[in-house]
Amino acid sequence: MTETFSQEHNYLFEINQHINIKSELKHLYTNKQSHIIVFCGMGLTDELCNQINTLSELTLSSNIIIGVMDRNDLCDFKLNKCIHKIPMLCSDEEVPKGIGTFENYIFCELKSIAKYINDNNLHEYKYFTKIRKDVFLILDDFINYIYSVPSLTKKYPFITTDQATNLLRKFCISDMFFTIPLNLIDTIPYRVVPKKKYLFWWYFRHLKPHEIFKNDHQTEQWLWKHILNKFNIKFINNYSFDDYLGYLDKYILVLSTKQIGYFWNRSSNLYLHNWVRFPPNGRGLSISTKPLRNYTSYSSFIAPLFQKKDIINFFKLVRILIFIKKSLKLLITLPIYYIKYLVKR
Amino acid sequence: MINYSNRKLAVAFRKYAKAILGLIVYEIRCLLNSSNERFIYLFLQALRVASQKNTKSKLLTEFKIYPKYPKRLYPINSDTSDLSIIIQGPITDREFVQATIDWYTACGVSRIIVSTSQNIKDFKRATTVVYSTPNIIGLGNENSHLLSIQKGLNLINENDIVIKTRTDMRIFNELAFSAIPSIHKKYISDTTKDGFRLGAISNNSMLIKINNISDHLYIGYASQLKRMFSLPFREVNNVMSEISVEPNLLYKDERGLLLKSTKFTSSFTEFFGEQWFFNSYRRNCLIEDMSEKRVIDFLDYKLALSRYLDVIRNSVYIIDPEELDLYWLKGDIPTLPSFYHDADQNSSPIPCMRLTRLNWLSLYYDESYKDKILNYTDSLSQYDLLF
Repeated sequence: MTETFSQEHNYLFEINQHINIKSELKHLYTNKQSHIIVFCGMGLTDELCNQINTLSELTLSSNIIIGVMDRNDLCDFKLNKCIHKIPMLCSDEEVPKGIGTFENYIFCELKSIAKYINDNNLHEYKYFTKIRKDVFLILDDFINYIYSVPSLTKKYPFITTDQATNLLRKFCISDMFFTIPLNLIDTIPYRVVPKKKYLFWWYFRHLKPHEIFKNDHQTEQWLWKHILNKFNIKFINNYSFDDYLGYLDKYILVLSTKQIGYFWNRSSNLYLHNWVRFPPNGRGLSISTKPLRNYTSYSSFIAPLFQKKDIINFFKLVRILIFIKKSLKLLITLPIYYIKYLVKR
Repeated sequence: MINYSNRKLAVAFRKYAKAILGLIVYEIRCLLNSSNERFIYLFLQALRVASQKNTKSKLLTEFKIYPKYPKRLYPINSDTSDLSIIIQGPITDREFVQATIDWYTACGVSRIIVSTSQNIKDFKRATTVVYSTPNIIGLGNENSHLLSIQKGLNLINENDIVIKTRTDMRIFNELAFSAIPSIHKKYISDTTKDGFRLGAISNNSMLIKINNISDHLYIGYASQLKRMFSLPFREVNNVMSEISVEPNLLYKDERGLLLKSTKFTSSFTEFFGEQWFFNSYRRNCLIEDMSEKRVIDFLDYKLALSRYLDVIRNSVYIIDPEELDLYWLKGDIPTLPSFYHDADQNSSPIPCMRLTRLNWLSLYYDESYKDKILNYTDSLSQYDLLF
């Protein structure tokens, strides 16, 4: 159910309220699915716990496995017995230290799920969906999505969301939510701290001007590079930007989270439509996105735009300008960062 | 009365002073605007923190914020030279409509037409068409709606791509806007006369209610839309004379007489304005006349639904409002940006029946999807409400 209010001041402001009513929800079809859906990460709320329970009840007869990663955060929640609690391969402390604080947790979760599937002999399932725990499900729409997956995958082997899918970096495709063939989940190695002595560029890798052109700089890139490599594309590293855009359009369906049936509300009861798009200090609140930043959201809907040479050239130019901007910034800030590094060492 | 000197120097000085004053006012406004923006941000952030503490709430509050006067961010000059827009409907907020026109102009739209029955002053940077409300009274404002589209289309070249929107809507997504001509040209069709599909929006579009394709936004070549809207006005009494249903299925609100949507009432395939328009599309724009009878035998519902789903798959493409960042003032209609709802729907909702982009993609790429929908309708009783 949704209520909408709109009000005009200096901005056009719209407020929607969403609540899932537990009613006699009817399924679109009764046919069997073959799908494993796992809620990963941290931040489970009472509301999502209820939603997962309802989801499991509604999909009980459809050959769908609903799983929740057990990160020692489930003891306060009452999950249905039919929901699979998937243990981690190792404790949080034992997860190898990688880039950023949480990067290897995602990979560890995927490895844990792969092990769980092996141990329980669940190989006959076809699709795997990873979704976060700090979300709000719109149950009707999410169920509709689940039942649409067999149809959509006839064209697109991979489905993901536009949140964290960055057009400007090759293979920077969202790791927040994705549906992939089940056999591809056990393909992502940890990214661990190298055993070199001189680790300046490891810790300050965001300073590198050329990282905008790299294929495996960010977590998302690392994840998708390995998934796609396993899929069948062996020459992925040689893809030009033009080739990549064509590949994206052909194989990966990028939808908005609302189309899939969830909001990434970060465990709160509030969701700002353009929250992820604006910088942290509240500037640019009312604009949809900003060019010449190193993030431009991509969705499959606008894909035909990127078949035009002039548009591709524009985004290539933006990448070059970001490279120049970062090079200049590096010249100015390198001494400061180096002192910081020496102090830290 | 003050007598200002008209000497050249004095005039130049006054102009200069005015420009300086204007600049100062502009800078102050920018400053205030920036701080205002930050206050909204801080307010929302505080709300979020507060809501995180309330773990028992079952409600999600979604905020959408758009600038009243948007500015272009991408210096992309995509090929929008053959793109025209018809903005039709009553002018409830003139400032909003003018800002919408300015935004579309900035996005490179070559021709903007505002078509309304209200006697208003011309809009800047657009052609304003004022027409007299038709004397023939139809269901709701359907005849006026039809006339506004016809008047707008008369001013547009046959080969232009036309977006038909409403006066209380605005497309905010700049990249999506630039992409519309490419998207439209991508979706070719073997079944339409001009080889291209009709673009429609998922607001109020239905999968299992025959011909219920939203009339809020259409995308098509002008020649195609002209054929689609080559319709005579219709009288409400003539429409109602064909409707024989139980009295509780008919009701009245501010829009006029309405029919509840059940599986049984789906046998009236031209009752609502949007159904009337879409059946005309099936009649006039397809190579073969695929239109449905205005009233079908309820026993033929499944067969008619199958034909409707074929038309959707082969001759239409669907866009979700979120993809366009479509803002809708909804000043006069108590409906939602993405779908209709009312008390009946909340008491007995049937999910998955909306024709969203996701469902359309499933229908488009999977031939068996149609059978799944048809099988699903078997499970519904004729009294089930469809939303």
